[in-house]
Amino acid sequence: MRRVLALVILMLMASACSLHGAASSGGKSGNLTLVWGKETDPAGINPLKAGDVHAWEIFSLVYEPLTRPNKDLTVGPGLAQSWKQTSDTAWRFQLRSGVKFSNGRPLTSDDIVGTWEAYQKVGLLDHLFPNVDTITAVDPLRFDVKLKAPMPDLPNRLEIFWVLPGKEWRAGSFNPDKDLLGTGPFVSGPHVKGVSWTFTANRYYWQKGLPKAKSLQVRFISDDASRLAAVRTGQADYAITANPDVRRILAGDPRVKVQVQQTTDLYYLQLNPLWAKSKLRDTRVRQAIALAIDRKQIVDTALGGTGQITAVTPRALPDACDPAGVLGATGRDVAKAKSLLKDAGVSNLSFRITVAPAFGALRGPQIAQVIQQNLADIGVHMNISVMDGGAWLKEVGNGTFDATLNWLTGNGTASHIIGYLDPVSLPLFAKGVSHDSTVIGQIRKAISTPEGPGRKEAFAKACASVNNLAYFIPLVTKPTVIVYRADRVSPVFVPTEPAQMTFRDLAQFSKAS
Amino acid sequence: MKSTVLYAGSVAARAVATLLAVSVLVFLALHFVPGGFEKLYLGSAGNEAAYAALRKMVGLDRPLVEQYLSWVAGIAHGDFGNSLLSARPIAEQFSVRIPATVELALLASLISIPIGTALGIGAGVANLRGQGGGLGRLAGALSASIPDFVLAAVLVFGASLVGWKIAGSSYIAIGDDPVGSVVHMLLPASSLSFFATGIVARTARDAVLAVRAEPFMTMAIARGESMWQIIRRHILRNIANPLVTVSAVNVGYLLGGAVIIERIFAIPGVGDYAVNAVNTRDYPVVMATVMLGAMAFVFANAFADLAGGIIDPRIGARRRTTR
Repeated sequence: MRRVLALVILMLMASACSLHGAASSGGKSGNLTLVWGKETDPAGINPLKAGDVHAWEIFSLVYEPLTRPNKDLTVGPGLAQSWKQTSDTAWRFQLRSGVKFSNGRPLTSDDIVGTWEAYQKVGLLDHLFPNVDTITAVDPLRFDVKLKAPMPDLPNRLEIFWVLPGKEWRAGSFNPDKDLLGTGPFVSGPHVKGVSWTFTANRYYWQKGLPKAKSLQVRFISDDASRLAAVRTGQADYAITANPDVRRILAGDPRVKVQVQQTTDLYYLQLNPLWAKSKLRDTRVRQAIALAIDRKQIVDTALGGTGQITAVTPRALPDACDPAGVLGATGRDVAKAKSLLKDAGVSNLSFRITVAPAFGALRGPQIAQVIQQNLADIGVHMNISVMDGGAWLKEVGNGTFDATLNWLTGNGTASHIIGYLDPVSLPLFAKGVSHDSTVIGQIRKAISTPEGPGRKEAFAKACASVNNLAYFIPLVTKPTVIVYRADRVSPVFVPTEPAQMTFRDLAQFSKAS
Repeated sequence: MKSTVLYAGSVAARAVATLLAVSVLVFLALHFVPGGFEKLYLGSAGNEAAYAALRKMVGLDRPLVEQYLSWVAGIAHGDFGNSLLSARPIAEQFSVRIPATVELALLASLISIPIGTALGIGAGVANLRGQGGGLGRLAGALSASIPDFVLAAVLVFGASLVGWKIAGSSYIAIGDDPVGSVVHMLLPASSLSFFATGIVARTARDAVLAVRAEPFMTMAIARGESMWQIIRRHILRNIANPLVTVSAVNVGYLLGGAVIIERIFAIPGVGDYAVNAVNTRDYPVVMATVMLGAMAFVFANAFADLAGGIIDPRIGARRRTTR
């Protein structure tokens, strides 16, 4: 009996050490199977509906957008090879030739027209391309975009215009709720919801020699520590982590590398200047709070040394404002903050701040704790309230809050986040941002100014007003921390990612040499 | 016999009434929680027109009573409906997730019930002999005070340090590879069973001590029966009822979904599904998972009720006279 028991235990241990552990690696890159330890399975697969980052990360394997950011974050060619502005409200785009969908059918400008029709018909995400009136085909590889109002950054905005097979969509043979059919490097394969998803190389992919991996297996692992464990044990080749101490944790393991990718995303603190019950309606009080915050402490303590100071226009973008212009960004000024509070006749101030980690502000509570300590130095008490995502949306949408802390994605244009401070632009923020006509006018002018020196100057003016009114305080950037097995895979990352597609160059991942 | 059937009927009626009450409460609670599905789905960039379009698209613009009744009618016909997020049938997800949760719950029970029973009897018997009381209490205190997620995190970290590949991404469907599936479930099931083992052990120990006071135990000792004979003939029979009750309730609880353990070990179970659905306000999924958990709990309680009467006829007789 004992022998049988010992044998069973040995078999179980042997199974544990060998089963399903092998990730990646074939003999050469052409046989490479990548294994991605991903946080969660996307809620939906329809690019016309789903707007969250997890969906985008999956879309980007199969679909491609019209344009894509260059390394310096200027806009570059994607499926559209070139474009020109033919008037204030008209653009002509030239598609790349030789591009095929994964069913072998060539991409034509009719697909772009069909995709836009689909966006409009579903009616959920067409507002991501504001002012677009019509898209019409000129010939198989050219199409025109007509705008309702000037939009100089139209090509930047098309970095998230996913091109669907318009012909099949019109014919009803392609249902984006169920099917994935694009021009991207991978083709969707077996998907076990919440467990795994397999993709294989698209043999019609237009970039010769890509993708370098023959297949990709996505494994969904929600827990951060478990994702790290999966990478360490070789069950996954790469993953994203929210753990700020990851470099220290993995310091003793030479097989696992940590890569910090800068982004155009930023953490912000919003102080409500409008709500009748807000304790922060006085500009001097808001300025005092901005001056008291220690950004370096936020970076060091809450973000594990990652993150940089930024203005409301993310620092990596062309035309971005100088981060040093943000009150307190280059160093806190406690004495001045106290003086401002004194001038405002405020003492023993106590207010509530809401944080909603649900939308990806995973370090939000820790950042709020740093700010809480900072404000104690100027005699201000801040109560931190961590909220569910739905409750946060309701409170912020109603404008019934003193302060809130969250993050925003910057996308590839300086106009994206600052545009949210125009009350007519983003309903969610309308009741919690300044309605000062001067600053709104400056924001609108900056957004509509064409490329050139005038645009940077216009943004600088708008930023200066936002900084001075201190109702939207950019804190620090929100980089992405990636861990990968350097002994298995040789990854390629863009230095700064504007649209949360951390692995946008996945097609170039190869076997480690 | 007739009275037993009547008792079983009253247990079933109570179960149905409980489930109906749960369905109403959950439905109302979900729809009055701030932030609707459309807002969470479209996120910060949504606008009123898009919210309205999405509500209409998924049928959330209908009156609440109509939504509730159509949902209950669906459940009565075995149709849980579709997820608002994925537009796929919830039953499709359940076909993957229920086996995972059941496997985890059963494995955890297979660990906790025998070990807990053995520890409890051991502690009880030691107590009868005036030995080992402190050790039993210490084990019970440890089991009650170490949360399963702490234990799970420690196990994951430890296993990853030694390169044990059952940490991190641990789930394999039992239909694909039964041995591999069980092996990969060992850490999560061990984490989950830790607390349950303590409860079973404490229940068994208390039951042993209660039995000790019975006259037949004094007689058995006076007859010179060995300790093993006393355990087998008198103790096990008399502590079976509380053990079945606590074990059944525990299994029912586990079948509702061991949320944190499922997340830590990347097990695509019902609990993990429910949490994601709550965060995204995927109402039909939340309703379906809560009802599933409630059903498991209610049926486990009903089973314990009925089994109690069968194991110990004195209890059945008491119930019939007091009903």
